[in-house]
Amino acid sequence: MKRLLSIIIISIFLISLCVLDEVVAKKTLDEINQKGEQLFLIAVNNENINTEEILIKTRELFEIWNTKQEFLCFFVNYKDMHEMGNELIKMISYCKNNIKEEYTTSLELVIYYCETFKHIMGVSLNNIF
Amino acid sequence: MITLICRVFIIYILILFVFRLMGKRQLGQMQPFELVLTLIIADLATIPMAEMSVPILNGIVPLLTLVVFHFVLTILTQLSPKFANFISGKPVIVVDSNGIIYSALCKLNITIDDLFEAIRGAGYFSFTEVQYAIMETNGKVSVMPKPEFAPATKQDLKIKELDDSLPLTIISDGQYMEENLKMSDKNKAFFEKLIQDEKIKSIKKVLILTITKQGEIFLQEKDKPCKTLQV
Repeated sequence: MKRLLSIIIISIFLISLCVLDEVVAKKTLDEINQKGEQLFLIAVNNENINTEEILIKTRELFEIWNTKQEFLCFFVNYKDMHEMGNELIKMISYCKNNIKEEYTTSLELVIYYCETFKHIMGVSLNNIF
Repeated sequence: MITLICRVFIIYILILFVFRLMGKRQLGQMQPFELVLTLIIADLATIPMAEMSVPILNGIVPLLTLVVFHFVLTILTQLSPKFANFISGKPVIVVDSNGIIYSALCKLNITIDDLFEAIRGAGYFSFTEVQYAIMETNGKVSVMPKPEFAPATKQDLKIKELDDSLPLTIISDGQYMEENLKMSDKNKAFFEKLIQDEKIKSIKKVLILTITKQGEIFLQEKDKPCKTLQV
């Protein structure tokens, strides 16, 4: 009976983790992804990226990432997340120095990392096999 | 470094819990898949312990999932003998009254030397002593000797069996075992008097004191020879 109870508790714990992983983590990554895509559109449509608006939005994206990172590190390898943080810091620097090409490349990488994390964490046949 | 110590502590507690849940089977009693499961658990536990960048959940989740699967499998094997046979296989007779069954050895993928070794391990050194040998599902060989080589029992020798009981440990390493004391028909005062009579200064000096239902006492003082008393 004790063992059965333990197994039920473990199963509930595992199911809750799955839900948390699927819902909350996905939502977090979606939010970053969405902000990244908005920023990408602004950057592409502006010739000069050394503007107050882009710098604020880039910093905002970096802040969001820093906050969400604490939660995501429960599920994703910290080394992989580190790469994304690096790209975001580079973006702030490119924005200040007005290097558009590098900025958009880094932003694309950030979006790509988000997609990859979502793919890794999501349930799919590719992931299973 | 503190993080690493915390991670190791968490994994240690988890493994302790996992093995308690999986039961008390010894290595030799394990089914092959249980042995593999134990190895996998050991391997899984080392990943988050050694690699700081890997989330600890990446170690905990597979460990707990394995425990749940193992539990479900155990329940299924208990409920269905057919499923149990499928998972663990059936015991196979490898030696019968006609001698060694070669086809069984081939099926089990064991050599004649392996069989010899297992039979010697069971305490029989010649096939002439063996009536039957059965390869159990956990890989051990159980041997039934021929009647003339079987060890004599008390029944064979017509020895009247005495009412035997387990000796109760009353004092162990200078401390009373309260539960055993309650189970015996003697009280603390009795044992204290006994210790005084045996010229032992205090109860802390007693290494072990056991008593049987028949009143046979085994007493040993620390760094002194043992004594057997009858009360």
